[in-house]
Amino acid sequence: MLVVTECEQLPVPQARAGDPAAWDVLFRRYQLPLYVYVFELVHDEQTSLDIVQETFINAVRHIGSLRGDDKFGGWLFGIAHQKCIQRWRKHTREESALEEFGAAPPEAEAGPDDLLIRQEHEQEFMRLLNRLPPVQRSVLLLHFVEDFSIEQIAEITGAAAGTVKSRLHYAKKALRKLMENENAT
Amino acid sequence: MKTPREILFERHRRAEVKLDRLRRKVLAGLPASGIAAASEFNRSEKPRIRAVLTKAWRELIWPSRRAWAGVAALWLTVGAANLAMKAGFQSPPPIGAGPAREMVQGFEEQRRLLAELLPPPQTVPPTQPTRSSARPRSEGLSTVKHC
Repeated sequence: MLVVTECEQLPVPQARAGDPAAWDVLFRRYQLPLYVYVFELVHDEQTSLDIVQETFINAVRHIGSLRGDDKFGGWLFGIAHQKCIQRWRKHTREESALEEFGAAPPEAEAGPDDLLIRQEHEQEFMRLLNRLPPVQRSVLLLHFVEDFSIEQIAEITGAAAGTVKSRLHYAKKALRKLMENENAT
Repeated sequence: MKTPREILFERHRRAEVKLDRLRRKVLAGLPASGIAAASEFNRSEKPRIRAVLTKAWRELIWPSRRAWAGVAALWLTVGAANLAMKAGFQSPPPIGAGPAREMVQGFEEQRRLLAELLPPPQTVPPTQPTRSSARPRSEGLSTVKHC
C-alpha cells in the first residue's frame, strides 16, 4: 500500500536535469495513482493506459514548465486530467454532466479516510462512486487517491477553489446518502 | 474497514504489470522523445543552419559576385556620404557664442559711426492741439450772422 507522506522527497531536480533513474522513481511513485484516477473517469483499460503513457511523455517533455518541485504530483495529475477531458470531448457529449453545482457554503471537510467502508460494501462503494457526475467523481478521486488539498485540486482541474470545495462537499454528501439508501434497502 | 484509497488501489493492483511495462517503454524512449531531444536539437540544428548558409552563398551570391560587389560598393558610398553630410550639417551655435558676438559688436561700431557723422535730429516740441474757438459752435454762428 502506497502511503502518501508530507515529507516525501522526490527526485524532481534530478529529473529536470534529465536523469533517467530519477524519472523511473517518479513514474513508479505515480503510475498506479494516475491509473486509478484515469480509469475511474474513463472506465476503459486501454484508454487509461494510453493516457498514463501520454502523461509521462508530456511530463518529460514539459518538465521545464513546472514551477516548484513540490508541485510535481499535482502538475502530473493536471496533465492526466487534461487528457481525460480531451477524451471526453472527443468521444462523448457529457457537457451537460459537467454542469456546475450551486455554490453552497460547505463545512470544513474531513480527510480522505473519514469515509470507512466495510469489506462487504466495497463493491457497493465502487458502484455508487461511478454513479456520481464526472466533475464530482474527479474531485472525490483526487481527494481519495492522493489526498490533494482544495487548492491543489483547483489547480489540477482548472476550477476555482470555492467550486472545488463545493463539489467535494456535495460529492461526499451524495456518496454517503447513496450508501445509506443502499444499506437501508 | 477500509478507506476509499485502499479499495481503489486494491481494485487496480493487477494493472501494475502493464504499468511497469509502460513505464519501461517510456523510459526507453526518453532519448528519442524528451531529454535528449533538446540537446540533439542543438547538435543537429547547427550543421543544418550552416548548410543553408553555404547553399545560399553558392547559389545566390557567388554566380553574380561582381553585381553584388558593385551594389555593396554603392551602398558603402551612400553611407559614407550620409555620414559626411551629417557631420557638416551641425546644429546652430548657442546664443552668446563667438561669431554672433562679433557680429553684434560690428553693428554697435557702425551705429556709433553713423551717430558721429549725422547731425542730431532736431527736436520739435510737441504741438498743442489748437482749437479755432473756445466758444460753443452756436455762439460762432451767431457772430457770423451779426457781421
